[in-house]
Amino acid sequence: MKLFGHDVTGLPKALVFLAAVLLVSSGLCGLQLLLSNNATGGWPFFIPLGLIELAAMAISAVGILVVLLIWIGSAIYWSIANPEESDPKSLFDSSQDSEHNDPE
Amino acid sequence: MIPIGSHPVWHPVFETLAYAAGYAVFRHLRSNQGDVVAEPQRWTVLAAAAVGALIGARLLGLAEQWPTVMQAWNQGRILALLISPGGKTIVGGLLGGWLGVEIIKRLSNIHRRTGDLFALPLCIGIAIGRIGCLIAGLADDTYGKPTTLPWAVDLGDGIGRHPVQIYEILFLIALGFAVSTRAKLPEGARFRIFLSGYLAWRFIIDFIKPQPLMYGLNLIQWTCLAGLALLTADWLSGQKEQHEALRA
Repeated sequence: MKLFGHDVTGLPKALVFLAAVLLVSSGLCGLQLLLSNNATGGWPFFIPLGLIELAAMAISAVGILVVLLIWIGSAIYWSIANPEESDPKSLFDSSQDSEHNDPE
Repeated sequence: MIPIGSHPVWHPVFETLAYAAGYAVFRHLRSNQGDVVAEPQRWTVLAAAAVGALIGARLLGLAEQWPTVMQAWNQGRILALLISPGGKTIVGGLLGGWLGVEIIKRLSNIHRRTGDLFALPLCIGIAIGRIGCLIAGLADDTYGKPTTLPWAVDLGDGIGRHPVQIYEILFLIALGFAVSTRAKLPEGARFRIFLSGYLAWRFIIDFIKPQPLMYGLNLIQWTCLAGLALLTADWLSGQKEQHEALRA
């Protein structure tokens, strides 16, 4: 039985985007420093970057969990509803391979 | 001694540039060379790589700060530590991403080797990210040990240090050329050349980083050894499968 990799790109695309946001926002130590420099008048920034970073981390982390749950749930449902199409032998055939080896 | 100082403000800028450049190169390669899997499978693999990398990078980063983690646990501040900035490692990200892809491929019955398109983008992305690490200086835990060599860098504390990030960028340029060779290689070989090359490099270069040691090696070096052992087992398994396929 195959669970993932059906003709769905929206959920994995969302996961990639959210993971990238979480990776960047969880490393924004530099932008926090921007804020502290701003407090001393060193930088012309007037927005609380620490809060933006925290919000990005929280939203992306929750988003990842939600998308993962939806993806796993829909994949399990799809596999149960279409047991024959879950046959692993049907994943690639020669025509698909040649088609996808061609440059776009 | 070359004065650089410590400017952590630039780290996230270069980290974001690294992801963007890596993705742009990946798209360019996929467009020019084609792909061994269809678009939905490719996005499935990308998602598994991204989530695996996220978990691996953070877990190994936290493991490196084990005393701080234990202290936070004892004080009931573990959530604050988990969402604190920094504390990610490239080695953890690479191995976590690789593991994530292998798991999703098994779940999805994807039998093709899908990593070749990632090899060059990873070289370029890590090299750009390392510029940020160098400029971040002492705020980033990736600086080198003190040295009296003429190309030593001063990260703001008046001490000349090995510019380990520049060493790594030069190595990644060479590795990038190696994985971009036009020679016909077996499917998956370019990614395995990249991963084994990078893990071996980190095992060596980390000897000139001032990190706490356990039995003579730091945590990243132990992880590199484990990763290389996994890669060897994977390569041997692939050889065995090929041999059996030929016999059949």
